[in-house]
Amino acid sequence: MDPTTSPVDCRFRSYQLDLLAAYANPELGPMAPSMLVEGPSSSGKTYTLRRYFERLQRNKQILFSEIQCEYCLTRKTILHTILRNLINLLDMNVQQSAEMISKCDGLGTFVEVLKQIEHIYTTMCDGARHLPVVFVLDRVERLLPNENSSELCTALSRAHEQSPALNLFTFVYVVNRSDSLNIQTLALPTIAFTSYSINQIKDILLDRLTESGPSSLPPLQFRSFARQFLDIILDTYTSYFGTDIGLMIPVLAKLWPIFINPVNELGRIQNGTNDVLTTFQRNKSLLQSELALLDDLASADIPSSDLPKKTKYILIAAYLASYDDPKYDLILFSKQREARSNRKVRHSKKKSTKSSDQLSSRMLSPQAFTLERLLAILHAIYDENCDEPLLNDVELLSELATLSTLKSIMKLKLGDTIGGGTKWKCNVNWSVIKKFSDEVGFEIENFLID
Amino acid sequence: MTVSEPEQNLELLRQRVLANLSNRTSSGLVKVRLNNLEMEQVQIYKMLENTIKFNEGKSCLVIGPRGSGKTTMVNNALLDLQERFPNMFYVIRISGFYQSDDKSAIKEIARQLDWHLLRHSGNWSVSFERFSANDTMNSVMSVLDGSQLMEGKDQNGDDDEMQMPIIFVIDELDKYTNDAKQTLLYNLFDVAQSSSNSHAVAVIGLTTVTGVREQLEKRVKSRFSQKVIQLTKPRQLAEFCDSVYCMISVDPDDFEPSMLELAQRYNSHMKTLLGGASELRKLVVRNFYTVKDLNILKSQLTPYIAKMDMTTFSGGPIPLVNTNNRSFQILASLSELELKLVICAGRQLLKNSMDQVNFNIAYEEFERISSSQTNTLNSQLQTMGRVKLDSAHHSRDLMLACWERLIYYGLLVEPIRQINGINSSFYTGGESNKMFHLDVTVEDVARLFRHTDWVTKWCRI
Repeated sequence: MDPTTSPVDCRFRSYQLDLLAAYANPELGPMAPSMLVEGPSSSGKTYTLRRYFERLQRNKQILFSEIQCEYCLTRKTILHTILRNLINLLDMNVQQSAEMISKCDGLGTFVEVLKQIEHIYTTMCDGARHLPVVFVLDRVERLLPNENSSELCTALSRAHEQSPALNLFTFVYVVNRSDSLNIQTLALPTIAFTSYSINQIKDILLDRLTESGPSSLPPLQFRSFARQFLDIILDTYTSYFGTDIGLMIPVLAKLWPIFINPVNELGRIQNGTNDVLTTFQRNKSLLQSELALLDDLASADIPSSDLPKKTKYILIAAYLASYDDPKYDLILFSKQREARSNRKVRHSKKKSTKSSDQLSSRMLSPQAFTLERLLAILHAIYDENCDEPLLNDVELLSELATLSTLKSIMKLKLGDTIGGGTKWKCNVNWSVIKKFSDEVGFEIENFLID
Repeated sequence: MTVSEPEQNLELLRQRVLANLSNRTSSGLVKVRLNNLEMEQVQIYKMLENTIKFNEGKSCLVIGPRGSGKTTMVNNALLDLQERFPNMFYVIRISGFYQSDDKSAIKEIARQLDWHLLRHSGNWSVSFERFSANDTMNSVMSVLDGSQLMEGKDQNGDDDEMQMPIIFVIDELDKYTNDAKQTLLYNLFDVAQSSSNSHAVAVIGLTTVTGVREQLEKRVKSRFSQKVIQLTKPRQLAEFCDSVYCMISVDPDDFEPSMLELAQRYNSHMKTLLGGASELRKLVVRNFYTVKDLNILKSQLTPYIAKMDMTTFSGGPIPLVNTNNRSFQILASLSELELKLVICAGRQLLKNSMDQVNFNIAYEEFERISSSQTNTLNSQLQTMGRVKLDSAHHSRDLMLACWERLIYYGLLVEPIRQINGINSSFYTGGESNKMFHLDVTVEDVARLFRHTDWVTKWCRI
């Protein structure tokens, strides 16, 4: 049977399937040693490949294995996974398979281990060769930054040149964008995927929904109900979803019960009671909020009141030190009355002269400061606002060390902690600092220049 | 077409053509016809033949761009030799892609020698590979030098065994010039130069780097036989067409007499297609004047042949090669909110003449524009009647999710900082003020979406 005409069930992907059938078709002779599959996320790349190759595997034409590179992180793990999957696919009952795989410590030894596996297989089967093996390397560009996936791909594309024994392998690289791989000059056969259109997505999701939903409704009615539901939800959130099915499915799963439950309770659809539009109208406020789109992992208000007051002051001082330019320190924090008296005047003056487009420094990354400056600012703001005495310096430093291990204040250098040259940075953002200063009754806005 | 061919003949022809177009031709199992490289192939063949026949060591470099047939040419020569001198020499292949440094290369050489010994004598016990790379080097070199050959003597003490010539094929030779000492190349060239004692050694280096000879260290260079074979891409269109014809046609001699007529008909048809006005010709000409890359042509022609109607020889569809900027393509697949964030980030970069942007800044701009748009709309509506539009508000968290997706797509690129040569992400200050480079500019977006009204509006500064 010709795989091109047989039903490989992938909607709207016939062009890509045709290309696949040209490059990787065991009936037309040897398959391409490597292929590149490229397209934006959620365009059906992996799904199409899986369907196509699984079908060939069922027909006993190839062996097929899919590797999720994103979870492998390193090249070595990928190579090990390739070898392990190969041993499993060939159904070899090798005693020392683990030992053999562990011999591969990188690309340099990969070919050798592969050759050994081939050798053992051919001796086991009296010289017979196995079926062609296809490895799909999914998201191969998402390795750790220093793992260099381009080297991996280049090398694997040349596996067939290394030894005549290795000419039965096909590697398929599935990537979002191939320019990050630097393999343009290899001119691999490329299969480009494009995003689905919104109507195609609706069709695909409709099939999924009707397959999954056990319902008391007649199938045709249920289908139109589901279609209406999809139309209304996807159109509502289209500006957020774009064409990413991966984003849509969790949201739809969250909202589906709201729409289907009234129907299931009644057992039929009654216009004005439980049809899609009525339910939508009834839950409008719910849908206007971003309930379905966002998961609240942590509650919005951070329980910060458990930090002691003095610690909060340290953090505030660190924030000021990070976001105020040192040249204004005299104006802002001086204990001399006359220098300080016109603090607010200058502050407001500054504001009026600046154009509204000017970026506030609060939005940029924090500046580094020295420990001395932090302590000076801390003393200045603390003495002004609180009556009780500040901790002595030893306690302060231990408090700082605690904050540093909490990564609230970051040290920019390894080693020397209290030396004058060591720089620090505040690692807490504005909203948290604002909350702290409200809690301790400190008006932080007065101390920020912009 | 009056003569109707049996179905399987047509399929056989198709398979033959496809086999020639596959990238697998470089695996060196069968000879592949190459256009215009006969001279070079003969040179290599002669050199290797001398090594085998007269124990003459030589080294040579084959330099040429990717896809110019270096590997295939050497493979062809080796296949010829294998035919004439069966089992009379060893071939050892190392590739800079796999063995990226001297150490792993020398270990690979040792392992391949082990394989040859195994095939020769069925003996697994001897091994050239040692735990350390230095010892491995010693054990390999001692064999190549012929100063001592323990294994050979242990087995049968036969002198023939020691006379076995070894041919080294080093792919991506430039990888081994990065090392300051170039130990591997030094030793191999040295043995090749002075191989008179026992093993004749020939070294063939393949590389794409034109100036590789200058990269060789001076002592390495002096041991190199100075033979360089330079392959170039075809200069004339006619020449290029010949190469394509050579690739796409079949050799009538390979076929049974019953199919001979079919093969000839196919060949002549292809020749007319390449010569006259046709889709195929168009494709070839475009390729010639842009990239001049036969490999790209190969992968484009594979579907053409695979879908070809073999009775009339009318080809299937030809896939286009995508050489566009990938970032622009990704822009087209973004959702509305993501695109708005991109525009806002680009606006801020322009307005504040910065080169990096963070989420805080982009989000501020986003809020400003969307609220001003709602206000304008509302004032317009109010003049018409007492209607107030409550446009959807997008929370910061939602936009942060969009921002993160932009990073994932590679539109926002994290600047790489290196400390002592190690990439470090030295980052402080929470998710939202981490700085990124934006891979596109506002002008790009405006140009790409010039037919979308709201984008034009947002891009206007």
